[in-house]
Amino acid sequence: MKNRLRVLRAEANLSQGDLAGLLGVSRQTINAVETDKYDPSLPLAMRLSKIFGVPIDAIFLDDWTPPELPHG
Amino acid sequence: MADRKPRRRLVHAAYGAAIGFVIALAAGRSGLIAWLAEMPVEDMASTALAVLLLSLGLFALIAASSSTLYRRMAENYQEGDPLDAGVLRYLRMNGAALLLGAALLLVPPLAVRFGFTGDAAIPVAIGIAALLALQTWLSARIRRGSDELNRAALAEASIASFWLLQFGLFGWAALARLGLVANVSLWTLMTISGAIYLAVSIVVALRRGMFA
Repeated sequence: MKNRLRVLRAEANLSQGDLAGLLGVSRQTINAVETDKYDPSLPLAMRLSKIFGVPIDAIFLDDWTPPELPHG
Repeated sequence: MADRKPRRRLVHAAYGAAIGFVIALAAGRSGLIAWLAEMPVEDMASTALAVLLLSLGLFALIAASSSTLYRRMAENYQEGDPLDAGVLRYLRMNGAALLLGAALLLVPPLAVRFGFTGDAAIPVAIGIAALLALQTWLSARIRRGSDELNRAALAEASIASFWLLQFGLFGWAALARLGLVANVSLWTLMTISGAIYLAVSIVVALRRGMFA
């Protein structure tokens, strides 16, 4: 999934290693998320959201739109 | 600044080729190659796989022996990465698991080669069971200490290996049942399963950017 993690991390002046340390994951995990090679678990996504103080959908970009619900 | 990684890799490859050449030369002159060549093909294949695991395990243990060496040897290390005792311990555990895997592959064919058959093979079998228990315990600890990317890669490699092996095993078994191909031994199947798991794990790790 495309994401803005690299931009947000740069804005916060954090290295991949710094962010990994804050989250308790390896630097490879941060790198894999940034390069769109791995979609993080929901808990990790929520922790990223808390660290950067933005909603999850401001980090992870999804252009899917739901179909209209049938009106009952 | 130009990326120095390709040049560094070429230099390392040249070192590796030179060291490999010297080892092969020594193995040839000492008669080890001739001795190994007398083994059945399946034992040669499992020994080759064991030597590969042994090399990877030794590399991991040497790299994890000090933070200075880790910084110099680990391809994926970047300046500023957190490098605490936990990172090195995790790598040491992986190195030890690889060495145990190598030992498990080496012992059965070598034991047969040295004449441990019949009742004499029982102590060897007990030793193998102990090694297997130790490796299983270590693998469980490694999994517990892994982060979610490692666990996801492990699960992905396991699923892909299972699918490939089931597909291959069914295909071969069906052909053998029809009398179109020869039966293969359990040791051959085990060696193939180990080789496939290793190859798939490397592909998964590359795809997930774990060497980055």
